[in-house]
Amino acid sequence: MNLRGTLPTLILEALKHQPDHGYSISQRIKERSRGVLDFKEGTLYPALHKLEQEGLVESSEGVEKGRTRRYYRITRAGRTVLAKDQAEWRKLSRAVTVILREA
Amino acid sequence: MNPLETWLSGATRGLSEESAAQVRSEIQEHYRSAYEAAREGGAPAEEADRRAVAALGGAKAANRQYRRVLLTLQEAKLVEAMNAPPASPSPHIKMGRWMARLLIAEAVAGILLVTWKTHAWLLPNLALVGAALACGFLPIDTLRRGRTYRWAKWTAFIAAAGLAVWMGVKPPWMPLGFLLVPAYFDYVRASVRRKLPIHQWPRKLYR
Repeated sequence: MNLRGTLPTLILEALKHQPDHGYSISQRIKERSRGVLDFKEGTLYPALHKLEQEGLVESSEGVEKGRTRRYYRITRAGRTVLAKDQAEWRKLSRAVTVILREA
Repeated sequence: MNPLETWLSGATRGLSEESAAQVRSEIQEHYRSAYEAAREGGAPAEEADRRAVAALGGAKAANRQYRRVLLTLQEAKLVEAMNAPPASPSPHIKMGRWMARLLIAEAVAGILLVTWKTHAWLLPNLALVGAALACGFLPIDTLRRGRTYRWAKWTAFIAAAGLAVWMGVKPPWMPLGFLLVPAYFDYVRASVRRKLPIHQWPRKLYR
């Protein structure tokens, strides 16, 4: 399943608790969706760059197992946007569920 | 060319050198992690490579998205030109340039004198566009001034085009067609403004 436009929200959610690097973010999203979301990993980085340009995440280099990686961290503005997106998603999801139950 | 290289050359097509290097570095790092995870899961080397590249998805789709957030070749050239220090030509060249400007001004004045009765729209039009362009020499080096300048410039351009249409220029789409050129340049500048952090903006980008 490909839910267009939800990737930035999923990234922000993945970064909510701790800073992380690109590969780990992609794996976390896939695991948490139990493989339901068809998410192309090549599009993860443009989404991360966009979030960075909008000031919703910031990045810095770090070393893990001798390898230099870029770590992304959610900003305060990012948390505000995430909370807003989550509220909107819940509202939309409830509305669709009600309609489908009636069908 | 191996599958990863093929993917990278597709994903970096049309991007500036710096942007392409950034894409290469982050995707190669991602690929290495995916490849190692597949190998640890027991996949043979070839299968691990195939899986790691397949997980990246289409290179074309990635390229489209990268172009929206990273500088393209054309945009990088524009930034480079804007950052270039002003050339200091010899006094002869300086004088030549002033003479050329004087000749152009004379030619424009001559055309206006000859045609102002039949092409009355030319005078207010040139005044509006000239005033808008002359404002470009003001110190526009903050976000607010830049926005105000662009707003004023486009108001003048649209007013000039509207005035020309209203005064009966034939064909009526011609003045609107002329707006396409500055619109294209402003579109490219807006794209660069979106992609570059403000502290990296050349002074001319505020306009």
